Amino acid sequence: MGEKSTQLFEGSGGKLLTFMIGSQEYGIQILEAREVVGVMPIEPVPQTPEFMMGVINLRGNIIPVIDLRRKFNMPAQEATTDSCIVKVDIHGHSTGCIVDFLVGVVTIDPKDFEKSPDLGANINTEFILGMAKLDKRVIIILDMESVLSNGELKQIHKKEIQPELVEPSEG
Amino acid sequence: MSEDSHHELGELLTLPRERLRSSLLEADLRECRLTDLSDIMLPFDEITEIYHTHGLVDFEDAIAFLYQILGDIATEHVSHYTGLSYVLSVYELMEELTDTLIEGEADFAPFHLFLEKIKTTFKGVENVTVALASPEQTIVQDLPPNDIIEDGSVSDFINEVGDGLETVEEYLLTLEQDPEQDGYIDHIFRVMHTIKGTSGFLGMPTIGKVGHKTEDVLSEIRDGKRGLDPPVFELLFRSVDTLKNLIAQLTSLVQGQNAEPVNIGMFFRSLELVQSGVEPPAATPVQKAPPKAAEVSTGKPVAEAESGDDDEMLDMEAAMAEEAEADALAHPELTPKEPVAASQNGEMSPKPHPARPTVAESQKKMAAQLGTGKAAGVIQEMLKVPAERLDDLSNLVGEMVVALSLLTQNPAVDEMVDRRVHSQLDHLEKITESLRDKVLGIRMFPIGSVFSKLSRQVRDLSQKSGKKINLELSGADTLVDKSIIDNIYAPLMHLVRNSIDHGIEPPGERGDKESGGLVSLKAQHLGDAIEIEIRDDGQGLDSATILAKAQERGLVKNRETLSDKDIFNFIFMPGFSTAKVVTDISGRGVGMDVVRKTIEALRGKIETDSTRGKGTSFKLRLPLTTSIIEGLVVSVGDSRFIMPILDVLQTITPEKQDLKGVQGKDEEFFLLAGEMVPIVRLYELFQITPKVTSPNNAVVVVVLVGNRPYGLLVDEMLHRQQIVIQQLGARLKGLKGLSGGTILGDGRVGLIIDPISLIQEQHLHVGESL
Repeated sequence: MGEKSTQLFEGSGGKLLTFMIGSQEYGIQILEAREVVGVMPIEPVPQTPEFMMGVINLRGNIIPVIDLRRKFNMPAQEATTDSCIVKVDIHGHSTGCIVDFLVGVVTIDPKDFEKSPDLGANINTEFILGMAKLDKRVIIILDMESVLSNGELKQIHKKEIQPELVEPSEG
Repeated sequence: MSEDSHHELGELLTLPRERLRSSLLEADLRECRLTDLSDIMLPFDEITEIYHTHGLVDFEDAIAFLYQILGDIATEHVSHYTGLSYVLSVYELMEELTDTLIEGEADFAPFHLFLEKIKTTFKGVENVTVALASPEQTIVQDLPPNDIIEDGSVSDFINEVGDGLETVEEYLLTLEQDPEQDGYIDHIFRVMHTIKGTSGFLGMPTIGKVGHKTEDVLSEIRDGKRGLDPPVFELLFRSVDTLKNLIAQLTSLVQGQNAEPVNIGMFFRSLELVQSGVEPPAATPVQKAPPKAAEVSTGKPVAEAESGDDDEMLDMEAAMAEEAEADALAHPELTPKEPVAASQNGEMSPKPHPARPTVAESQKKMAAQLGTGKAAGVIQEMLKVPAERLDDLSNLVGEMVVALSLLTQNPAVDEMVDRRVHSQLDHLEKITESLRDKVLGIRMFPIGSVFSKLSRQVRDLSQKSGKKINLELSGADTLVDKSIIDNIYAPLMHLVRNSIDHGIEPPGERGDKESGGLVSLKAQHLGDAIEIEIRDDGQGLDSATILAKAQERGLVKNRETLSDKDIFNFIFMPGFSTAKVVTDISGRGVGMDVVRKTIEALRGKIETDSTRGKGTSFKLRLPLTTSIIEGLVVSVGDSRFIMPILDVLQTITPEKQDLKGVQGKDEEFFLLAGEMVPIVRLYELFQITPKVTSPNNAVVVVVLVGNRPYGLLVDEMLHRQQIVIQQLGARLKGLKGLSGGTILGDGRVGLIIDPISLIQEQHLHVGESL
């Protein structure tokens, strides 16, 4: 087990905050998820990559918001009443992440955990910490540190040439 | 001796004395590390020779002693730092005596007395590990000289060291858990370095020595010569505790209370243990972290390791307490070895603190100049608050001011007939304003602390460069934001250095100007800004040379006619230097481009003015505070942006006939008072759908970037208001053209435009597309 998955079971006690993006359930460590708020007006920030939605005023603090759909190269979708923003804190920096639908909190056992499964060549596993299987549910556990790693600003001027990949689970 | 021969002696000595003085200062400045001792030896030999031929037998003893120390330094029997501080203190007394001698008669009796005492002391220092190895060694420090107590230096020192030691302790505890945290060692090193430096500066040899020895060990750790084994931790914790006790003792001394002796023997004992452990392989320098790291990764509870260390700490504390008791008991009968350290402070003082008399004097002078007198004998109680909390507070207050101004400007409020509402609002406004001023005031400090650091440097530079410099300071009590204090020293130092090195002519080349060069530093408030001016009366900037260099480097594009101010701006380009010789003084440190960047990062501007033969002045204009600015709110499409008022020259909607096209593109420029101003379309740059595209329907905000006007095209100008700057966070750091964001009156976010990086980015794109 890697250092991050150790943290998942020891720091977060195996607790995940899970949400839907498209038809897939994703989870993040409860320790990293700080709060959930409804979708609010987002001020776009020029010269940023497409998945960077802009900034919001969260009780007087300006925090950036990214669209996980776009980050995972899934087709963009207008926010619905179910959409919400999950505020994630990594290394003391807050970022809001737009998700389609919030599911809730689950606790997983180390035995349910499977590290970075092989999902085939066309899926980017870089952002995935592992998977959890609970009855019929399959939860992809995200490695938020690499999802939110600061590679994004470097892509600013390259966004036009990024290919539009469609995640198979959508089809 | 006759008058004449005195005079002759003075003349003979002038040159070697100057050289020796500058070598000693150089050695002192370089923390005595890379000093070439021959630089000190050679002029010293000359001086000795001169004394000898004049039959000045009184100095023979002292000279022999100094040779002995220098020899000890060379053979590493004594550290550079300690050795040189002895050399300096003896030599400074010799100089003083020589001066009195040249003028008339001198009384050598106190000097001989002093020499005897310092010799005894030095014998102890020479072999410090042997002399201090007794674990019962205690010390009562000397009361620092009154002048530095009065001007608050000691109080500052106590607070600073206290804070520093707190973090060192925290870091040590973390390091014990995880020795891989390399940055921590660097931090601890820096703290010890500061303690060593400052205590040397203020003349507190015991604290200095403990800091110095600890620094030595830390530097070995940094260089990988030593691992972080338990004896090293033991030593480092002892060092922290010893320093804390010494600081506590100093505090009692200054407050006029009884000072308990502090045990320093345990520290030197640990030091001895650590140092003797270098050679044998038993000391484990290679094996760094493995055991604990393994524990963590296999998922064993970390708590176990933690509690283990806690016990260790408790044990150590208990041991320390026991020692303290033992000390108290042991104190009355001092062991014969003991006075070694004590005498360093106590018996060595026929004059108050011979170690650094000049420094103390200059400090006193400075304090008088700066007018930062603090109550004598009082350790000001300081409250250390994380800067973040202050920032939060000032953000909130700023928002409150903004919210209130929106409320009072609300037409509905205006229409209210009840007069009481208006007077109550007025009252609320007054309270809010003074609250804001108070909160901002917490972050404000007099710029004098920066000035005093500069004056010491100027003194040293003036010695080194052989140019006599008069430094004039004014406005030292001008209050500026802490962030400015923290960042302004390096750019100011660079400008001052340039003035001394390149500006002020060498003596004899200054024409009919006074032989001593003048450098003046002036700080003052100008409306919402603070202006710091650095002026010298040197040779001025040579605009022809600068222009030639700029052309050579291809910085001048067309055959444009450049004003002197435009030309002076080239000196702030990266890597731009017209200096033919890179001197020791100006060859290091930050360049002029870094100066400009630092100033711009503080939202400030530099204005250069220079007259050939008369001198140069740099005016730095900085905002009073970096967290609240006056801004112009503009809109482009649905977005709103804020232009800092300091950057805005004017706003204008150009007439149709003033708009000019270029290369087939329409409306690229407009004429403003006969000058062609390029139009920068924000909607294009930021890819926003605008409401207006034609400049003669929209608003052009004219900004100055490097003395050149640019017109930023926006849809509409909304209003002017005070805004509280917030950073956009690490994720959006380094965005070109934007310096932050703010919460606007309706609760939405507005982005703050940074015209300088915006225009520079724009140029870059043009460059790329060509």
